[in-house]
Amino acid sequence: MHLRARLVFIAGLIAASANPASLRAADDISGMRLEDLLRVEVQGASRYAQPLAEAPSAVTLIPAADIRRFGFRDIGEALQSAPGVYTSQDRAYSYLGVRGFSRPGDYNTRILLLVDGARNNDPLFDQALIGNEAPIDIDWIKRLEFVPGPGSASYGGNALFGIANAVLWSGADLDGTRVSFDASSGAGRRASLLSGGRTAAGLDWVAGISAYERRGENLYFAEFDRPGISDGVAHHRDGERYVKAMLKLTWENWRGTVTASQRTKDVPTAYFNTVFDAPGNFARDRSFQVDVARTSTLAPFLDQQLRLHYGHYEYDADYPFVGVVNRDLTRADWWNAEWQLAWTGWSGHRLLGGIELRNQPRLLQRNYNVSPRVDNLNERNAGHGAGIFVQDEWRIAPGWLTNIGVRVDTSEGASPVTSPRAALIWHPRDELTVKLMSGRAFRAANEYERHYGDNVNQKGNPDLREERVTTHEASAEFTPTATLRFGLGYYRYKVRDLIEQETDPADGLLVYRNRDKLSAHGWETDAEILFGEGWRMRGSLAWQSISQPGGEVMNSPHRLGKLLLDGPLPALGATLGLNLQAMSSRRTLLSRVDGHVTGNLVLRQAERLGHGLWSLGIYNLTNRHYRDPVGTELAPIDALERDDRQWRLGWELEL
Amino acid sequence: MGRRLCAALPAALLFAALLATAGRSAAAAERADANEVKAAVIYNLLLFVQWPAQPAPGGDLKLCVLEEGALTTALRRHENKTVQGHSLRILRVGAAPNDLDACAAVMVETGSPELLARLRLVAHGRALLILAEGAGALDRGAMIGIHGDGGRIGFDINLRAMKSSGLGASSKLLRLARSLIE
Repeated sequence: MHLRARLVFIAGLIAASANPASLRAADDISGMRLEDLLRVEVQGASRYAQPLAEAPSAVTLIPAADIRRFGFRDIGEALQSAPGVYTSQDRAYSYLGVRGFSRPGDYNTRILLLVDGARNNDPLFDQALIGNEAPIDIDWIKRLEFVPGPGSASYGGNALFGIANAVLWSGADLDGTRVSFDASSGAGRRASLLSGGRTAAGLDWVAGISAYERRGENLYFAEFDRPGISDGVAHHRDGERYVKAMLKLTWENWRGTVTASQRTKDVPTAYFNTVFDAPGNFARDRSFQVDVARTSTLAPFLDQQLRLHYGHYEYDADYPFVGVVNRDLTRADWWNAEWQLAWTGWSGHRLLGGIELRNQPRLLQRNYNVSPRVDNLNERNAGHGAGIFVQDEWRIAPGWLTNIGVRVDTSEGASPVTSPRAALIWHPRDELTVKLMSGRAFRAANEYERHYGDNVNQKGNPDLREERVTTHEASAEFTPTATLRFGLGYYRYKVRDLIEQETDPADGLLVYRNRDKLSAHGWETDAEILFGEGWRMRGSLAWQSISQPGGEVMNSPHRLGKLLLDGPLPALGATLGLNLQAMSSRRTLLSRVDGHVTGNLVLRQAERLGHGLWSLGIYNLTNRHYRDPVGTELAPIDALERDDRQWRLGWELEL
Repeated sequence: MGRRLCAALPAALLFAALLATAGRSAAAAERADANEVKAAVIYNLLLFVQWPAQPAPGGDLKLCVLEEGALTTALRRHENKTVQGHSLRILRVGAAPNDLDACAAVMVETGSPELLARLRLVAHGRALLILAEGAGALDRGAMIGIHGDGGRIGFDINLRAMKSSGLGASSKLLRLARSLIE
């Protein structure tokens, strides 16, 4: 263990060894006078959950009720309900597009995934895992928050286009056990158990475990249909399995969370020129993360939060080539330590400051041929970095609020990066809110881009600089009546030193380079209306345009539309959730894919009848055949068809 | 610069942890769960808010909630207690304006800004008290914001918004509020 890590650990132990205070009985509190209540020292104050929901941005909140009502199956599908957000996938991973940006072949490196405020992107690929490969299960989420725009001023690297924060349930929220089983197309089945409560001594606990298996369907690929060689069908090569487990404990002002997940995906696409329809073509992601946080009060109006995070990530993949199996083996271990202070003693201000220390003792990338054994890559590295930030939320005058922040990040072998952000919010009357925001964010080149090189297909580039984005945006919210709301937003951003993969003409090897600038702008508008007895309809439209040298950007739709409708159907004793997604055509590497409209429909029993509650979801309702652009690693496939109509039947029980 | 900063950080963290320990031993030995205290504060707030037209004595005063979280569970402990001669009821409702017809007050745990904006408009035509959690709740549209900054529970009041819905607050509430918009 490094000296730094050891010191941080000791700090944690010292903090832990403080005398445990006794917990006041609830009955005692409920009889107290107001003056006395305001003097009671409390634990578990809301600091953990606060920052994102109050971010000076157009935040989308997706509560668990919406996740159930619309039958969202993973984080990506839930986030896709937000204006201007879209997903694509290549039957290995899911990718999130924001503001027109989602380049095939890139991982989700420009979105930051937080779980209860803790960074979950791994330090090797920098990837925010949002599909079934995610480190957490969708059932564990109490609320999903999505903040579009640059977030590096508070959270450091990766927060270029947005931050997704998954707030997990607490035991007091659950107070019981939820069991669910579901069956779905492609011989899929899933079981999930989530349980939580609060003991008399004040220990709040949540435990969850879920397992999923899907055999997958036979998939036809015209690109591989060569008479005499192959019929173009990948026979049951699309299987997927995962197991995820979580334990979250809150006691006094301590909170600890452990999550573990393993997802294995059979890859049917013969990517990287592997053999089509061959067995043993898989990718496996494992993640294990421990997060310990403590909040406390140092003085009146001065709160602190300490956080220690340990993460472990593994990626294993087998690539069956003719006569030889090639294997990727990737391991990463990292520690993060964070200290934050919040001061509210200055009237009209809310000051927040913090430091973060990152240490990556192991960043291992190996690639070898299994038999006969040939080592192509064996790169072992370590890294560290630090960040410091400060921000102030200032209520200048009634109806006026500003939020100004800046963060400086350093990492080994790179010059410090400064990420400022400023927002001005004007709320002249109940019906209207206007926001102006500007900010800068960055992403440092990751270990994979700098050091992955087998020198057969790809070589590393240790000299890569960070990429930067500068964003300006304005938005207005108008709520003319209590049942009607309109939103309108405009943004403009510039990316420079974008890290892009290209072929080096000198040796024909793929390499990551800092490339030219690109600039983009877009409009987003949304509306919400409440009607009838509990019906709600939300719709959004987004127009986005990116210009870069070399023509239209890949996988960047100019227009996106969404419509979400939900409400009760008393005749059926059920609720209905209808989710329509429309997307205009997108460029692929070689041509284009057409625009499409797809819809998901979910019916859920409104109330439990006897034992359990049933739900039925139909995904891709009209059985639309639509395709996503994919990266060069899938050649000769240029665009990949998404799943056809799928169904899912669920049963859940609350105890 | 980067390396020096890195070296200084563990020391700072250690210092922070020590401060934390010191801060704690100086504080009262007894602590309470934030949600329990918030619930008790909310109950007390209701005692000092003036509604223009009270329902008949002996009737119910309905505090509505939009979701079933930990704070709601804590609030249910106060159900059936007396508030200004009425029996307190905690009622789970939807966000549609009609759902709020019976409510004298509504409490929002972590709501979106859109939700609070909408509630404010519902309150335009009637005496509906809007309570919300979070330090920035007033800026998002709440009449009374309840927060846990500073290790104690505090509340802010937007008296102007309360008055525009015909609600009043006793001088005691105004005195105890951490910040007040008049």
